[in-house]
Amino acid sequence: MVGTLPLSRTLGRLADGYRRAMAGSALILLADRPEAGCDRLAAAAERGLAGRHQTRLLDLPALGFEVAMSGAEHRAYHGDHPILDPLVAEHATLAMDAEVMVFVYPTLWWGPSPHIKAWLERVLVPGVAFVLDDRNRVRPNLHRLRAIVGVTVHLQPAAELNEAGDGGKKILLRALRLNVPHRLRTDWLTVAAGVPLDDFAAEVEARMGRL
Amino acid sequence: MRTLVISCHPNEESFHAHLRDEALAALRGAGEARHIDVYRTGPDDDSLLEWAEAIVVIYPTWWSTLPAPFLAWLASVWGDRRFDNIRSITAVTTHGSGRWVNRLEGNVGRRLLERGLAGRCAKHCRTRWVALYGIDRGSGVRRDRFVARVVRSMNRLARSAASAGR
Repeated sequence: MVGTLPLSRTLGRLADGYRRAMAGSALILLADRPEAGCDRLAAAAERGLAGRHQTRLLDLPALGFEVAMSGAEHRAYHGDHPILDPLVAEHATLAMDAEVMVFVYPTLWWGPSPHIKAWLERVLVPGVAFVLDDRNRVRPNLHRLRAIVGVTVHLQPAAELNEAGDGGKKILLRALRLNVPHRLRTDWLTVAAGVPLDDFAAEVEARMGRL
Repeated sequence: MRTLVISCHPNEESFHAHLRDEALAALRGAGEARHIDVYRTGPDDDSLLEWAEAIVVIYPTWWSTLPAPFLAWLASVWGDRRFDNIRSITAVTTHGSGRWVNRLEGNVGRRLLERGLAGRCAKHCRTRWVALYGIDRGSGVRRDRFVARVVRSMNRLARSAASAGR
């Protein structure tokens, strides 16, 4: 019975309940390639976030997430119901609820992996990431989001990557950020392919723990 | 000049399908042109990359850069190879947002094509950028003008190829 518990234990239980009730949701988007080892980094991010967030890890290729927007989806894009795929609808709900989004992928062709790009195209549609006002202007709609994080393994040499820049970083920290109506925290962690991932995974876990 | 048009759009009734048809008609009127539709192609089309001397990429800019299937095609078909036979890249694209928003976002697609892709083609590969900004707020007249601009650009490409061949 609560009435017979010492005051410190009662307060401790109340604090735990409050933390659980107030825990924000975090979404980890993973698109890996065998040579990159991003699955280990996503697991590290999940461990780091677990204490303070209700975390959901979405391994897009494993879920069978389609890379191509279909013709029907494109036709529906500017309509009242732009989402046709149940999996995309589920992800859209998670995206609108997320306080933290973590993108984990190998950098290819100066940009994000195709699955990450497809997730932006098919999930963050009008009514989810943004809305159009009466003058057809884009207005941000990710009201709950307060942190965007990128964790990438560069499969391209640094010299080559510098030629055209890191497109994925710009897309997520600039274009995606425009869909958030307030200031938010961003973080970007990268490692070159071939470097042992143990230290980097530990750093990812620690940085996620601070969000 | 042997020109390869690479297009990427899910709908055959779209403005981009129209752009592709107009570009191909202009190029075929002046020389040899072939076509890859990234949405409807298999990995065997890499032989056309060895055949081409110029490429024209036609795509809608989504989330600052090329659509996801185009990125997947680059990763799986083009891969890490270099094609010294390709001496010219022309990008034909449309943007929902304006020029300045794209600049703020870092011109990701343009940098990928003009610096990244061009670096995997012939040395001194020439690049051309033909873009329509703010298409979502644009009128039909602006679209018609853009189609005419694309056709002129294809004609110029064909003429420059003819003069280079003499």
